Amino acid sequence: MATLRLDDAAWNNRWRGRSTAEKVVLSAGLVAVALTAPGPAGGVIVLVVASLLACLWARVPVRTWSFAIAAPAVFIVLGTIGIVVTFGEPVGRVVVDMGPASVTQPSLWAGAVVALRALASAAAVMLLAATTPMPYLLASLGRVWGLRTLTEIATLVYRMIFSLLESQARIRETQTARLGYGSARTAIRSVGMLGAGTFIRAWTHSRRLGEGLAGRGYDGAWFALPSRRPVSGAFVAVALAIVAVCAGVSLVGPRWPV
Amino acid sequence: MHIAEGFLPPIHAAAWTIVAIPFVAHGVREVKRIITAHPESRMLLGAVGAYSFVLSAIKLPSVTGSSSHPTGTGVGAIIFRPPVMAPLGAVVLLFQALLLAHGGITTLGANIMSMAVIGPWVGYGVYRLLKFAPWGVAAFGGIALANLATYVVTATQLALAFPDPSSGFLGSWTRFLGLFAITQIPLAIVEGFVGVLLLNVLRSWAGPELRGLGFGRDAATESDREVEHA
Repeated sequence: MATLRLDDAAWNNRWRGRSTAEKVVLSAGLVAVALTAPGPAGGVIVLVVASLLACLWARVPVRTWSFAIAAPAVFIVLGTIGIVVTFGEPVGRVVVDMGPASVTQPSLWAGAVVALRALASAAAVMLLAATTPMPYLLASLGRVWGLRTLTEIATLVYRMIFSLLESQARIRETQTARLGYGSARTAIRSVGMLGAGTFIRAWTHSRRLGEGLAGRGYDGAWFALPSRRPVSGAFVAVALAIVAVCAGVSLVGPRWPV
Repeated sequence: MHIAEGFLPPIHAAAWTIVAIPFVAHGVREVKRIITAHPESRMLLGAVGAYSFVLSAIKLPSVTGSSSHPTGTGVGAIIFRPPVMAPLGAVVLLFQALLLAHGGITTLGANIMSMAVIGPWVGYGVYRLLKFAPWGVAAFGGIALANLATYVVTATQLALAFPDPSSGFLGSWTRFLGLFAITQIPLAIVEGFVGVLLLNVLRSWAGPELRGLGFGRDAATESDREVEHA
C-alpha cells in the first residue's frame, strides 16, 4: 500500500490523541517566533525546540523528521541564491566578484536571515503535520465558518489519494518492465499514459464510491468525523511557556547585522 | 516548485493570503453551485483534487538532468475551467505542504495565486485564444504557458519580497526568472507534450463524460449555443 512518510508519522506518534487545538497553539506560536525573530537565536531555538519536541516527546521517527526538514531545502537553497547574488553596482563589501554579478556581505546576511527563517518556520509547521492525522486537522478546519464545503472536498481528496498512489505505482512498474522509460521519447509517452491512466482510475473510483454511498443514503454529510478531543489546560500552559521562552531567547540574543 | 514555508517576509505572506481569499471564495461558490446542480459531481471533484495531488508525484525527465513534477494546472483548467481550480488548488497545496513538506502554510496564499489562480487563467485563456489553431497546438500552448505563468508569478512574488539593493525589483526579477528558467522552460515544454497526450487519451477513453463537463471545443460551442437559445 502506498504511504506518505509524514502521514504515517501523524498516525503513529504519542501526540496523535491530543486535541488539534493544543498542537496548533504550540506550532503557531513557534511559527510566529521564527517569522519575527530579530536575530539568529530565534530561528535556531525554534529549529532545535521543534526537533526535540517532535523526536523526543511525540516520538516521531528521526528519519521521517529529517526528511520533513530537508524536503524544503532545495527551494530554500535556490531561492537564497537569488538573494545572495546581486547585479549592478555592489552595495557593501564585495565578498565574491563575478563581473556583472557579485556577492556582498549584506547580501550574504540577507540570504542567511531568509534561509534560517524558512527552515525554522518549516520545522514549526512540521511539528503539527507530523503529529496530527489529516482527518483530525480537516475536522477542525470544517468547524471554521465558511470552510465547510472546502474541507468536505478536502476530506474526499484525502480518502482517494492512497488508492490512486497505489494505482500509479502499479502502472509505472508495468511501464518500466516494458521499457517504457528506455528513452526520452518513450518516457514522455509513458508519463502521458500514466497521467491519463491514473485519471481514468480516479474517475472510475469516484463514480463507484458515489454510487455505493448513494445506495447507503449518503446525503453529503461527512464520512466518519473524528470526535472532538478535550483540550488539556496543562499542555496548553506548557506550550505557551515553551513559546514564551523561545520568544525571550529570540529577543535577548544577538541581532542580524542587516 | 512552490515558495517554501517562512520564505516570504510576514507582511508579504499576509498580503498574498488576502489577495487569494476572494478567488478561493468565488471558486467555493462555484463548487457549491456545481454540487447543488449535480450532487454526483461531489465525488468527481474529490477525484480531481486527489488526481492533482498524485500528479505532483509523477516525476518528469528534464533536459537539465534534474527531474520535476507537472503542475497540472493547465490540464485542470482546460477540463474544469479556472474558477474551480482555485479551491481545488488550495486543497492540493495544503496537502502538499502538510504531507510532502512542499510549499508552506504561511506561503499558501502566494502559492495559491501562482499555481491555482494565475496559472490556470493564463492556460485557459491561451487555450481559448488559440481556438482557430489545431486542437493539439491550442492544448499544448495552454498547458505549457500555464506552467510558465506559474513560475513567472513565483519569480515576481520573490522579486517583490527581495528587490536587489542596486538594480531594484527588475534586477531581482530577472535573476529569479533566470534561476527558474534553467529547469522550467524545458519542463513547461515537456508538460505541454505530456498534457496533450493525456488529453488525447482521455478524449478517446472518456469522451462522453468529458463533453458532459463542457470539455473540448465542440462541447464549448454546444454550451455557448445552449446559452444563446436560453
